[in-house]
Amino acid sequence: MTQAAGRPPSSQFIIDGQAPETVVYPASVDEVSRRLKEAHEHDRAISPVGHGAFLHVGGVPKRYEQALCTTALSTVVDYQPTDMTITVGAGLSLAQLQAILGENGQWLPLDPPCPERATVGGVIAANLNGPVRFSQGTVRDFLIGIKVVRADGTLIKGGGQVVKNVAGYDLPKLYCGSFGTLGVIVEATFMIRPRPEVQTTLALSFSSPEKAGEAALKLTGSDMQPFFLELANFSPLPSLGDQSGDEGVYRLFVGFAGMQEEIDDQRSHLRDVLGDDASVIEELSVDEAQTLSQALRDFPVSGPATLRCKVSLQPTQLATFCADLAAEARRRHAPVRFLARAGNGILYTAFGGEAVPDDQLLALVDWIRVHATGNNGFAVVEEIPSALKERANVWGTVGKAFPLMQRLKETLDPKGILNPGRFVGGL
Amino acid sequence: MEQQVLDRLHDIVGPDGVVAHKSARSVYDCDGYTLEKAVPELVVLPHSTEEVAAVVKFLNKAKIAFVPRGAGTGLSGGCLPVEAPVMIGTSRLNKIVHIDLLNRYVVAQSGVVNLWVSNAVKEQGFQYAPDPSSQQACTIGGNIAENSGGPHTLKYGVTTNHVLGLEVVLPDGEIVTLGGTVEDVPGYDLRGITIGAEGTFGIVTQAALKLTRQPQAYRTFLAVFESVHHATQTVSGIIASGIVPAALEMMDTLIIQAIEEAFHFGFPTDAGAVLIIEIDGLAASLDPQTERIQAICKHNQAREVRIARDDAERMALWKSRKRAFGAIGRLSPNYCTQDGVVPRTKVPDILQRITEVSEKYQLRIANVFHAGDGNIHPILMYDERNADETRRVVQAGKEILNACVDLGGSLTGEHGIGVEKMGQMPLIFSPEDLMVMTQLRSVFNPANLCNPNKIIPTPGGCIDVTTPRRQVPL
Repeated sequence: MTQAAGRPPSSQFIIDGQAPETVVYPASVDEVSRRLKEAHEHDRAISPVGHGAFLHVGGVPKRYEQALCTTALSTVVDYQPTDMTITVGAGLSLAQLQAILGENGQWLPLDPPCPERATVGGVIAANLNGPVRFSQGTVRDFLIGIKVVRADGTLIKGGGQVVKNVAGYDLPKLYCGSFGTLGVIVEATFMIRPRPEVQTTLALSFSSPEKAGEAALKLTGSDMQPFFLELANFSPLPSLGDQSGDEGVYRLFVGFAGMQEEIDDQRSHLRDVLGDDASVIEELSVDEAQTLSQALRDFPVSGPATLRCKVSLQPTQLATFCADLAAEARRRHAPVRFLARAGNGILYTAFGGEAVPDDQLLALVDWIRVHATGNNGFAVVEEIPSALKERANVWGTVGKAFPLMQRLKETLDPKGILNPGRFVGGL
Repeated sequence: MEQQVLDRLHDIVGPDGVVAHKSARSVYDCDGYTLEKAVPELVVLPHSTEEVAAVVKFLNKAKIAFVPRGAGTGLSGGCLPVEAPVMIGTSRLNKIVHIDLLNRYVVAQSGVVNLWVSNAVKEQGFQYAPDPSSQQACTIGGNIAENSGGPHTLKYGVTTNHVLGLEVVLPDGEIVTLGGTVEDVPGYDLRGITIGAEGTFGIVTQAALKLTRQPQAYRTFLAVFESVHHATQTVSGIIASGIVPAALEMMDTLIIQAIEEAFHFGFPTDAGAVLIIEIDGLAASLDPQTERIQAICKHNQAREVRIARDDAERMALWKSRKRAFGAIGRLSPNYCTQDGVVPRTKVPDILQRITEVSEKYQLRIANVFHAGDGNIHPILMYDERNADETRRVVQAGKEILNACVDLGGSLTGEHGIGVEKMGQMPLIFSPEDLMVMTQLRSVFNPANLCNPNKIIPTPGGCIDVTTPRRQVPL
């Protein structure tokens, strides 16, 4: 067999300090198949990579011989605006996809971090979402069809091109969040939606996370329809206040979107729903709102941080968790900024700009995990120095379903060549 | 059934949990898909997850195949016992375990009826969004197995979009939790692949279901058209206008007449087609949308656009729609419905093809369906005492589904493959696709004892559906 031809790696492909021997840029599905078949035959470990914006997430690769860069798979295979579906190559960036849909007043209602550098395949594989998940849903809610090249090079598909479909097992769901360990996603079909006509954002300030959390619950329990609902202990915009997280002010950012009539109505009823809980309600200018949306969206990967954790809780548990976490971080001299998807119970934390000692980082991870799992929640370490990843057990444990996951991985990637070691339990 | 097996199952579920007498078992011989029937050798009705696990563990060890069953309202033969002697019914797993309004979820056992969930939270302003037409009878477990939809899934999504987590008894008797009561549980989305697996990955015993706030207001329209063509143009027009209706349902003349005769709602029996259009959300958004919808209907020559005056009228309208299948009993002793899907803009084409099929096979076919998402439900009427007509129904159904696939669609939108459409899976899936599905099933169900002979056709075997297709040892 021929040696894998490819270019030498650039920094874009480095995972936890490891560089692949080669990088290949397949320009067609057939070529992806061929590359995987070769790799499978030669037992060569492959990591599918888009623009490499999220490679810091996940465990240290057990082996990493080849990067398979998907960015050349960027065709629009089929777009039917009147059917509200689109099929694209996995290497297309989300920003490109949104630009195409925007021409018809449509969008894929997902707002993950860094849309310019997030590919469609990456968004699916890493299950990347953003603030609007509260009102719109997540990747799995919009992905209706998928084509994947299996570890041995076989092309398979699941779902289809229609918005409602229960023929066969729901493969698209399986690949959402599968982290490149079950196959290389090469094509995806999404159902899309009309873009909201107008948007507005309100910033509410509170003196404690509990008060902010309570206000969020009042909104989610009301018949209002916030577009997003974000709780932060810092200001994402300099114009709104202190950006460090040390100020003791807790902010709730409430987005509204839709027709002008809907926005006006909700804005005028916000006080009725919240009562006197919020000390200040200010409406952001259009420019400010846009900058804020980007800052909220990009928070999980932006700004300096030595440790980032994502925590899954129930919405009612967020406020206490945040208050306790802030106290714990102060005790350990590790400044923390956090941002919660208040209606979903998803919390993103970022510790430290300056160096925090390793033992303190691990102690923080431990604290977060103990408190998350104690609440039937989960904690994933999304960023930490590579040397600490194993001790931090970045994905945490997944319980009694793990043997099924192991069997699944062994079935779809028997030689363990796809992103080995990068996913839960070292899969 | 061997006495030994019977005794052991008796021990696990108690005497009231075993249905052994022939006449009592015979009511379990089919679901809503009545073209094929098979009586299970034994029905067990466990009272708890632990009992389900003990039953399954025993059957797995004894290598006896079994089939899970909810309310039996399925429409593709998903719980037909095909070479599976034991049926495990979930009817006694009927408790709503936990309601958490602040976190907007409910934990319910799998035998809980769909509508009970919404009823349990409606006073507080919440609902469980998926609303299959059989929601007064169908169970949560069955909804999960089939990934059921309903008229309002156009805006709100299907079952899988509303399930946070599952408690499942795997085919070896192990109890596992897939997903949880929070979002973004790390690991593979095994909950996602189990939903819609038609009971072939194990038996769901309990589920955490997301609750949705009831909308502030509704507006429900009945738009009357001279022809199906104008109605379908209206559907396209509404979708293209950027409105996302909560529901967009079409009925043709034949079904309008049947429903009117049964329920006396006041449908115009001379209309070519009617649309039920519903929008919901903030009250402030409904007036501007109403104007747009009325304009689109007028533009497409609607004869009349009525708006439901109050909630009672709205409920009456939906009741008529959801009981449409029941009304068919007035027209024909038997019927069989298809569940194909086409891209929304291809609805006129598929309706044309259905008319052609109806003429070709000399069968009456009524249409009542989810036009907004291209999910058709042609109802093929027949008399099972007429063998020739029965054969023609099977053939006509196949032809309609083939046409859906030709138009870029799928075999089933919400009813499942079951036994009914297994033979047609190769129309949309390659041998490689079917192979990966077989392998996925083996991950969960390695001995293939849990609901065997469903979804995936045997490799190489061409399954020809006639009726009765298969004799099951009784």
